[in-house]
Amino acid sequence: MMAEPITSTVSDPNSVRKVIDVEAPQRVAWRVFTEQMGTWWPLAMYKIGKANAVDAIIEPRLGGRWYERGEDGSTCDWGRVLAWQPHDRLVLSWDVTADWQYDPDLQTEIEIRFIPDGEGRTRVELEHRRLDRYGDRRDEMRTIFDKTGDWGRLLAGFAEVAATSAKAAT
Amino acid sequence: MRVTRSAVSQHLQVLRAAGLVMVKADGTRRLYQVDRRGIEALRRWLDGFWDETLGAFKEAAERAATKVRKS
Repeated sequence: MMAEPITSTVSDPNSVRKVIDVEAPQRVAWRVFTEQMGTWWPLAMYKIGKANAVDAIIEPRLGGRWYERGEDGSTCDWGRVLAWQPHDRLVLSWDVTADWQYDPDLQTEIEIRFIPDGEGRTRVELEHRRLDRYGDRRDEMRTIFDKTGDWGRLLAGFAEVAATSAKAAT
Repeated sequence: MRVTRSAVSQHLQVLRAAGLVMVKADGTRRLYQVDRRGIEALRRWLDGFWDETLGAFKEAAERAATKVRKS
């Protein structure tokens, strides 16, 4: 069973914050996040291309691309590197719309901080902000990014969404 | 299955309206197949984007740290 990251109680409608404690030194955490993203990112779920995605890549420099690579060699951009400060801080733009399409003008921001926490531990803080860029779909997207694994509540919510779309379609 | 054809048809129509299956007409038959876009949206809905992603990152970083310690 995966440990649930802690969600901050601060409630900003334009931002989602997550904190997770990792039993790994700061350098290792940074390396796994930035160089080996394709080994852990849930590519089966969170990808936008038509092809099955096989890797997620961050080009290691300011202005670098952040993209997925499909099994057919195609690539789909997700965003750009807005700040590159090994091994402390990384800011990426997430330019994937509410319809899961790339739009370079979207520019929501993800800041990730890697904070050493005693020997061999790192506290990783993530903030996904500027969700106001989603316009009238902000709340919908905030729910997707923020939600924690409360299955009863989620299934009730899903039932509601399914019922609403079922109604809308008839 | 102990269920009538029309009941099956009604259930499938609900799934189609929810975007979880697609239908193709083939003469008088209706062929249903899973709509992957809908299923993916459902997975996103259920799982929580950043919890899922950071949980997977934590596991990978901890595996890497264990390897570093052993070597």
